[in-house]
Amino acid sequence: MATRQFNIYVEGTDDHDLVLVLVQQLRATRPHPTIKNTREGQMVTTYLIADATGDTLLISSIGGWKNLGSKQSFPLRQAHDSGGKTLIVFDADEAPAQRAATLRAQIVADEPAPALFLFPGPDQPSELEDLLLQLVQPAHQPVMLCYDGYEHCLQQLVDNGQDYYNTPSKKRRIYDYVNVMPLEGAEWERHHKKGGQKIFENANLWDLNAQAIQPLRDFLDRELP
Amino acid sequence: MGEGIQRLLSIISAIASNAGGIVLIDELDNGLHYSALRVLWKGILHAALEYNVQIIATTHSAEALRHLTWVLDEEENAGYRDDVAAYTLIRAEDDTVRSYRHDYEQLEYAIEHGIEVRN
Repeated sequence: MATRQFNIYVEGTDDHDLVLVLVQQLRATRPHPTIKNTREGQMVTTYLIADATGDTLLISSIGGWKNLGSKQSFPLRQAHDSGGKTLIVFDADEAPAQRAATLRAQIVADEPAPALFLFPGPDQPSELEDLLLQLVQPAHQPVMLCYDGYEHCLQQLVDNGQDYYNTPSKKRRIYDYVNVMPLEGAEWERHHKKGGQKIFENANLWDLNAQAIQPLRDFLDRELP
Repeated sequence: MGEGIQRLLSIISAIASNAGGIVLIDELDNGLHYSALRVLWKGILHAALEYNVQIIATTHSAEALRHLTWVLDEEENAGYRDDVAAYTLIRAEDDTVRSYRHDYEQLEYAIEHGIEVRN
């Protein structure tokens, strides 16, 4: 029997890894029996089968919102034609409504009605990292205070009376948070040797039941089979 | 003479003897080592242009498709990019067959991103 395909497009590897963990928490899934998953640089693609329905779930990072368009024509049409759906989970950046309209326009030829969720949450400007900073386990919040101190220290350093050093990015802060955590075994490898993965399934690091991520959980739960 | 060379020669011969026509090749990578695929694609593309032949080939090999995009990536073969398209055929629940066209850029994107195009 032909099954439906559901696509989830995201921008980067952290987005992919976070959404993958949430999908696996929300639905019983298994690896696709014939399609190999890939992870090379910013390109991460995971195929799963939903146990309950047999539908195919594709989670794919495309390296930025401007890359969404005709290059994904095949999976977009495949999902649409099979009775499945395409979910877009991208950053809102400065203007959520404008970004949503732009993203819809970019794929309207292949998928006229995608389901959209923009980080950090409904109708809020900004990006994934703002959400992640709200998911840091409360027990480790002092690490963030240390980081505040580091940023403050940098801001005191001047060169010829002018600011010289950059303030570290939010992306950097999140990387460093995971980097100082006592990971072991495969998790240590994935973070330290395989592209700085954030190990979102590790409940010691991340609270994926925090209020801030509930809208994303609700979105995925509503839109997936 | 190895099987790869024999296979290549038989395909090129078919193209040369059907100038201005269409050549159908079923499972074009059958019996070929992956290291011969680049030569095979280059030979097919050059011969198709030389003899003005349309090629319709089938494959279930991801390697064959990957090598096709690598050949098209080469600047010397850029002129072939608009002449090549891949099609995925999917049997639907109502027993009809849906076809999806991939141009060069879409095929390259799918292969680089691990998107399965061989349903």
